[in-house]
Amino acid sequence: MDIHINGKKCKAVQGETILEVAGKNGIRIPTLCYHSDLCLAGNCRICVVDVDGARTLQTACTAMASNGMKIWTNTPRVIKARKMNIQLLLGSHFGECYTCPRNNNCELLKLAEEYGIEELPFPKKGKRTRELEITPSLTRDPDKCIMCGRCVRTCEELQGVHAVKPVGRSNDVHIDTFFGQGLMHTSCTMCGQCINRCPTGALYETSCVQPVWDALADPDKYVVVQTAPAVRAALGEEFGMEPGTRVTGQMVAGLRKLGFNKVFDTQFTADLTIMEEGTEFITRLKRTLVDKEKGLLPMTTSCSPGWIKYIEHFYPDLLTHVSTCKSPQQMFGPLAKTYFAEKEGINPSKMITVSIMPCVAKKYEAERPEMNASGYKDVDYVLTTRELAKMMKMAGLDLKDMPIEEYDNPFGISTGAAVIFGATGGVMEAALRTVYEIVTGREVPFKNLEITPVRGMEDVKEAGITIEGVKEEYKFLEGAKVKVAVAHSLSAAKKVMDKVRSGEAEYHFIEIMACPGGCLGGGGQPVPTSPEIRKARARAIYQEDEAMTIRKSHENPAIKKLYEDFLEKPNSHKAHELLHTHYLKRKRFDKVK
Amino acid sequence: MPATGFVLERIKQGEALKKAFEINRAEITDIIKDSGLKGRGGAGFPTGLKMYLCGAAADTIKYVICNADEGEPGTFKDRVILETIPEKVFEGMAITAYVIGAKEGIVYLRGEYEYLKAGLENTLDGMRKNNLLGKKILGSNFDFDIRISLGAGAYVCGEETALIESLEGKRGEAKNKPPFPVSSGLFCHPTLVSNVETFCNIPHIVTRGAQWFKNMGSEKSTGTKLISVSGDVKKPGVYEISFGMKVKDLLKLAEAENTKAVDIGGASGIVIPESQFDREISFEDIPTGGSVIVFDKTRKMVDIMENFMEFFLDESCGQCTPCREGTRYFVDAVEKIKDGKITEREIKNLRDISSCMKLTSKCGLGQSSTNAFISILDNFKEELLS
Amino acid sequence: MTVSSKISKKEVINELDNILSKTNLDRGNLLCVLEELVRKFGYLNDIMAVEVGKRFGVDPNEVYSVSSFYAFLPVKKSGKYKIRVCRTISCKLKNADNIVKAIEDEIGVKFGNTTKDMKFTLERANCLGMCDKAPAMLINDKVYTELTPEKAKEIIRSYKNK
Ligand SMILES: Cc1cc2nc3c(=O)[nH]c(=O)nc-3n(C[C@H](O)[C@H](O)[C@H](O)COP(=O)(O)O)c2cc1C
Ligand code: SF4
Ligand code: SF4
Ligand code: SF4
Ligand code: SF4
Ligand code: FES
Repeated sequence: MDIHINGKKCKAVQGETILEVAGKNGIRIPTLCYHSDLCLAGNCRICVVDVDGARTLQTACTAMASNGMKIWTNTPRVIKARKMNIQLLLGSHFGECYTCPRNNNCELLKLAEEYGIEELPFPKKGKRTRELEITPSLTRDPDKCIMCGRCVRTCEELQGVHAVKPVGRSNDVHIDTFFGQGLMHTSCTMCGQCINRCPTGALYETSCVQPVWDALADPDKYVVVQTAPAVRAALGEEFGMEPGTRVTGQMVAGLRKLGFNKVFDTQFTADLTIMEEGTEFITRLKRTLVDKEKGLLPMTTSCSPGWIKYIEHFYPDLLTHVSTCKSPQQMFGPLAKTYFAEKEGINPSKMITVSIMPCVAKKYEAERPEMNASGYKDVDYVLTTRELAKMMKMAGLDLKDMPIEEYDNPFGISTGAAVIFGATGGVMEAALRTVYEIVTGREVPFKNLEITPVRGMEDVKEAGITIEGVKEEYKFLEGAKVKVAVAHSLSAAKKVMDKVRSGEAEYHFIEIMACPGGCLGGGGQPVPTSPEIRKARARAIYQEDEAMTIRKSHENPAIKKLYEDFLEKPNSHKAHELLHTHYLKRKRFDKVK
Repeated sequence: MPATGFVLERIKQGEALKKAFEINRAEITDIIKDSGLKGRGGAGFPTGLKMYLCGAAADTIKYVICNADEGEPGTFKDRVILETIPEKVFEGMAITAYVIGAKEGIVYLRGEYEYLKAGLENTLDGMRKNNLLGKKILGSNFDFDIRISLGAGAYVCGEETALIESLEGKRGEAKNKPPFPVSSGLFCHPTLVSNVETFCNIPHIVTRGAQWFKNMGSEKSTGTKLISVSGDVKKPGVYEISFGMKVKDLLKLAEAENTKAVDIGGASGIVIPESQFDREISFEDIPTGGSVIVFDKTRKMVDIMENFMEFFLDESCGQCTPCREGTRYFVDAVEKIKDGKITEREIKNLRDISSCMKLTSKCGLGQSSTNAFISILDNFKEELLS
Repeated sequence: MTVSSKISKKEVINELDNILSKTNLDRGNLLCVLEELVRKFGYLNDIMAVEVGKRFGVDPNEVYSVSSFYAFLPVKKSGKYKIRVCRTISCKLKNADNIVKAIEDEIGVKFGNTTKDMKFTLERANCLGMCDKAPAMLINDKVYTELTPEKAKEIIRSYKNK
């Protein structure tokens, strides 16, 4: 099929939109409501183009190419109409860019610049008309919303949560929660995926930047920081680097320059998670196979707090299936304030633990009242990848100029198994590398330890591994075929959990991450996001794994030492006290009587 | 009821349907095409072509929908049809269903007309008893039935894609076209949506032929049109006119006196001054879904502007930028005009917003919501800006 | 129809059972079921959205979003009798404003409000399709035309004792 765009002949296939064909041919058409992760809405009317024979302008994002179509993307009336639509959006937009968290990365502002908008032909909205909504994880500013509906589509299609919807109609239409009861009361999972897709400053993380600066400035405080695996694969984007650039060493150097007393790695507690969760899994297998207990299998992972909140709201009947292990972030907190504090002779009440996360749900997780196993708030502040970048910029640091430095000991030593926590399938792969070896004494039978069936971006992945030649104490597992599933995004989680609920699923172990792509696509990661960007970050993560000398969690020497010195053994009493947790049955709408 | 013509006339029930069964489907489509019948809901799409397209769509499930949302200010002719001769509408739907291969018909009745529902249900029951609806209609192999679905107070649901969304239990937001309902409509099945009055014409054309129909009206606007006349006239009501009738002749029929301006097409139509009363009501000149509102010399044009723009400020679905954001400025402008404070520059901006709304709005609502404002501005400039 | 300030879950469930004995659970019937609930309770609340959502397999927030779109599916407390006076031009030309004033006098609340006893809500409506018999109003599903202020007051009074 041939179509003409601006006089240029372009090849198109049936079912392609004008926008897609133009994109392939290097012709840029501006968009606003369109997002490559989401279904088409066609409501911002920014991508309009002239099509010969059509009375009105057509939206390139929704209009299908048809044979012989003649399209003009930049006629004077197209430019004028786009400009007017941008002006109309700005006219009802409350807020000043200099106070806006998105002022360096706003699609609306970018369009305003591109279309040379120097003044508005009508008065701009001068008063706040809707209140800010602030939760521990995200903040909604409805006055900056342009009603593109991306958050609604994200929450519905990608996450299956339906926390936000268009409410009302006409000029009064706005995005809101169920009967305006607020995100905290209507089962929002705090995943932050909507933030990643919002083109404006209407959705952003609730910031902890200032309190962290305050802690760093306080000579009385000992401030330690941990960094999650996925941050190192994305932070560079905030400094103009290509997606998929690994910046681990530069990030460590930067954190040191910011003044943190110790720069630690969440990957250390990721390895610990594998030890705890792997052991728990073997125990659950035994209790199911030998003691014939019910409700223990399949076991699901628990390191994604968005997923945890989701299952608490949507499958409260299945909570016994969730591993009791805390997330690596929340394992780190109590260890820092007990083991490390003791070791270094630091008063834990003077210690501030900060974590750098690709996630905004982790902010909520840190605030959960049960997260005080150390006797203090285990994790004091959670910063997103974006917030870290902001702090570095405030301090005049450019990641590109940073030297490469190493993490501090003892929580800086980690393995390849830990780094892949950042990608979907990674926890599963890391767990299998360890569990298989514990049970059989041999390495997991995959070339180069790469368990490829659980890698990749398919929303639900399945794999099976037959356990043979087990050690004496694991006799009950001889010949067992362990079936695993991996799901990322909550709509994928739903697919798997519905099967678990109906009893249709034969899985033993399920990894679930709330965000598409896993943590590398988390709600705290640099904006924008797209399937390509997430693939690039995943590549970086797997390269990092390959480059590590130790690639299995149980071989991490610092972990071994931690058990020897402090925790005794996996799932010990002490480990349970510090590293395991329990969950809450939550209602979908807790205000509904 | 001051009405002449055939649309509101009672007919012998079932006659047209019986005739339709005798002719083959393609031929009926051809007759309707040949008659030149165009949709009476406002947009004026050729009905025969719509039948053809929907008939040709490959699907075992198809729907016929009667658009009885009649929300355009000043329009009440569909109400009168449904009060007097609903059986003819239903027969028109049945013929259409027969032609395109649909088994289910739905009347989307605006919530405001809920009080008509019981009567319509009665008529449907009667038709079922007479085997004009239901299984094996009139001994043929054709099954068809009709149900009534109530709207819930949203003008935009008269727009066919919004109407379909509403019937699917969703927000009545218009959809991008294409795909058009004839290929993918209700629950993604091919769907023919037509206006109440359009369906009323079909039985007559089937029994009396295309030529009979073409003898009425003008070249591109065959047949007659029901016009709802209201406002400053002595005899408000529904008039059936031949297409091409001059505005001034209609005014005479309705006994309008001292007329200053006439709105044709409701809030989304245009308002003309006395100097244009020679113009004709037809698809060639001034088309209308059926609303004519008359204003006498005591009326202020700015009040009319205000009323219409407030209407759209209430009724836009709010999903697309130009319509949601644009309308407000026209409401603001009315205030300024009232205060005598509007500037030339502001008027130019309003025209720019208006043309942006026309060019880029997703549906007909936003594309036409500034028509009245702009035509009043053009036609009554001295009064407004003095 | 009952309007009390608190609607219990039990009442909602009973009424839904009742409505759904006549209708099936196709999404296409969602509006019709919501309309029935409004007929019974006067408006839609969160309990109803949750229960309707459960039955239809539609997310309750979606039910809320859909309802909030339609003028006749109020999602805020609203009176037993909704008085909708046409505000569109043809009625306005025939002095609909005076009708509104008369009704405001009669029920003691202004446009857009509900009486304390939850009996009446006075709203404006866009064109009711009664322009030939203007001015017009609806009270729930009943239409009243060719109103005069006196006639309107009388009609309202007849509802007061219902
Ligand atoms: C905002 C808007 C409101 C409309 N309202 C109605 C209506 O109330 N009745 C109607 O028949 N058509 C209405 N239409 C036109 C319909 O979209 C559609 O074209 C029509 O129902 C097709 O029927 P017809 O071909 O018989 O005219 C409306 C269109 C728009 C854009
Ligand atoms: S959302 Fe964009 S345009 Fe609006 S204030 Fe923020 S940076 Fe500026
Ligand atoms: S944070 Fe996640 S669950 Fe909450 S509204 Fe955003 S996308 Fe939905
Ligand atoms: S909050 Fe953001 S993503 Fe959601 S509709 Fe508004 S601008 Fe779009
Ligand atoms: S033009 Fe108006 S009514 Fe139509 S889709 Fe856009 S906002 Fe909705
Ligand atoms: S990007 Fe096409 S309409 Fe918004």
